[in-house]
Amino acid sequence: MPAAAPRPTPDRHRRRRALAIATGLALLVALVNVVFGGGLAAAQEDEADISSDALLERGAQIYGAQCALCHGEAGRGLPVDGPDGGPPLIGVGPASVDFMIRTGRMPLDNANERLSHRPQQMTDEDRRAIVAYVTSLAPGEGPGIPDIEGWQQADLSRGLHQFTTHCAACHGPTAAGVAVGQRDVSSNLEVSTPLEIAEAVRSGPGVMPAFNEEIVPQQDLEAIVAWVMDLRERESPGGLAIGRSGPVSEGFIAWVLGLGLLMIVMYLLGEKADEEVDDHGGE
Amino acid sequence: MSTTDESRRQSPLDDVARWLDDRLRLAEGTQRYWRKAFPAHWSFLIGEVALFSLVVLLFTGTFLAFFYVPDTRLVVYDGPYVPLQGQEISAAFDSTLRLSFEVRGGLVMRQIHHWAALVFVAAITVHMLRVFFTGAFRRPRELNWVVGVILLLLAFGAGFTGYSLPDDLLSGTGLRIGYSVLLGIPFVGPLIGFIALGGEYPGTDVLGRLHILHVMLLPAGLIGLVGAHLAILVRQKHTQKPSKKATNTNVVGEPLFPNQTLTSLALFAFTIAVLAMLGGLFEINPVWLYGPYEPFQVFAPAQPDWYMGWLEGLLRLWPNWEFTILGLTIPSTLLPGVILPGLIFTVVGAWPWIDARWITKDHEEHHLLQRPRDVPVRTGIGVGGFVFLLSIFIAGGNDVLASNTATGLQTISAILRVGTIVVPLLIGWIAYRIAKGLKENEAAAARATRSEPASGAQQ
Repeated sequence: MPAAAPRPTPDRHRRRRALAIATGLALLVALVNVVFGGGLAAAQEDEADISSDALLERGAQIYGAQCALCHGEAGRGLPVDGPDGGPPLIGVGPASVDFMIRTGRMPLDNANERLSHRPQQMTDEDRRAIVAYVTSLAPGEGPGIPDIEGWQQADLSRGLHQFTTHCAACHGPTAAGVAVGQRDVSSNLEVSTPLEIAEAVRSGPGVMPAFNEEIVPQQDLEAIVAWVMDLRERESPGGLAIGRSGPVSEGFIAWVLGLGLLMIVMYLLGEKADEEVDDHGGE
Repeated sequence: MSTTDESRRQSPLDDVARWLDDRLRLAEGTQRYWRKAFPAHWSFLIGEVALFSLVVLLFTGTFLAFFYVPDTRLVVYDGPYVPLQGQEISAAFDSTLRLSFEVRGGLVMRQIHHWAALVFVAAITVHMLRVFFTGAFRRPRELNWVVGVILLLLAFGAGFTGYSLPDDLLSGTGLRIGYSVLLGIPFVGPLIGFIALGGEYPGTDVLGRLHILHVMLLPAGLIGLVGAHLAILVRQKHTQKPSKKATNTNVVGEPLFPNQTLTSLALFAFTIAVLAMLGGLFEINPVWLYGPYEPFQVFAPAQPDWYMGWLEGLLRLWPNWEFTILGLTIPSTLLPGVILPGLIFTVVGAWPWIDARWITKDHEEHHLLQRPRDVPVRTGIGVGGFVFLLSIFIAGGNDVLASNTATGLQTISAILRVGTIVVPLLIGWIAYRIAKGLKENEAAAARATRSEPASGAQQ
């Protein structure tokens, strides 16, 4: 025991007990949140959808503060060259706006940054307000936020087929994402939620094409979501899958682990450079 | 030999041995073979790893062949893998899934087989590098070098035909690329393609043909040529590192029994262990995620197995040059897909003669190995050539590299296009300079010792 450590005084004991109780309470609150929090959040969501006028006003305010600098007044866009010239938002539809904010791609602090998946940068209510406001600029235009309630019942087989037909060309067979051009990398879908996947399909963020009802009907959309979630969650029967980037990672393992280990074995089994051959050699 | 001396009989095994010896004269020369010398240095074991991987490939491959069906006819999948249930897939893909999910031990066998193939070619590559940089291919071993190069080509063929068999989307994409390159060969290409597929693309016969190539012709060629490779080795004896004992006129090494037998058995066991570990722990080629091959589908990234990566890289790097000469259109795939690889392999195969004629100008017999510094020009060309292959190999994964390094795909390709030409020249030249410097330093040191009368004991 280090001599310098002082014995705990009764006062210390008391403080420790208080700390323990506080920690316990915090844990309890966290637990309650986990168990009931989902329901509470959902209830709030419903409430927020009702008061549309207040929501619109709030949306206009936040839009003015956070979006207008690049996207222009009332979503008209900014006809400026360079990254500060944001595209017009009139008619892009709720799915696009909701996706961009929900996945933290927007609002950007620095227009030179590349759009990437981040935690949402504002509250859920603010997001809904902006979506409502931008939608009100051109009501009924653009893809709406898709309803994919039924994705858990969707046909996985259809999902695999549709994913391979429409998505794998850029996102890869394991949805790991890959470079698809000079500036763009298709997203890794490892962290996307079902709704985000569906919104991306409908709205086509960035260079991704938008897939409307005619190309990807509702049933196929749910199936694609189901397949992507299955891809992530199904236990891999073959063992560890490093990076799942196909033969690239496989070749790496074969060389480093396979031949690498065998080279060590060879080195231990055989004679080293400075050793002489035994005298009982052959002919 | 057939003595009837009962007192020397120790076990029933002796009776069997004597019975066989009476008929096959096995004991004759046994001593000679038991005492055959094997090189002791560890770097000589890499070829054995290739050999043992091939043995693992043959055994696991036989197991797989019991269950695989090379048939493109469509069936409805009704196995345990939910995401494919109810889909119409080819009988070949169906049998691969059954092998993976329903046959006991099938998946681990498939995975060991695939890992063994990757390690097999990797071991051949390193073995070849050793032989190249130590000049072990020089007269009288030119022939065995050529046999080795053909073995490597057969290994490529076996690998390509093998991973094309499951009829999943990735293998179908590889086949499609191969077929397109084939079609680009003037005059004969389309005809060969037509014959290979049994009709227009995608054809119905291609899997059956690949299957026969993969399970019969290529293994027969591999086994036959490995036999020849080893027979020539035994006949010519191994090369050795010069030492106090090992000279150009003797052969120093470990006797086959017991020393080499134990070393080789241990290495064999370790090879099986490492391959089984890979097969048991690491997922390889999860075809059930890729789905069945559909000619209208493709995905990215789509890479071949690593040993075909350099060919893929050449195709990816090559500019889209298409020209017409006398009405004959030369497609952009012909040079990178056929002519350049053919040229590379011709140079590699002919290296012993190129080396003797233009580099060392030495046509004598050699049994002692050289060090890379002993022939700086060869070392420079070898390192440069290796870096070139490495660079086009990296280009085969340009899209994966671009997304992992957050660099633009075109930027990566542009860097690689220039780098593939400049970097090998540069590194080859540096290797040449280093080898030359080391050689000259040694020669200078040797001259210095010789001129000092005090150290005359060296002679």
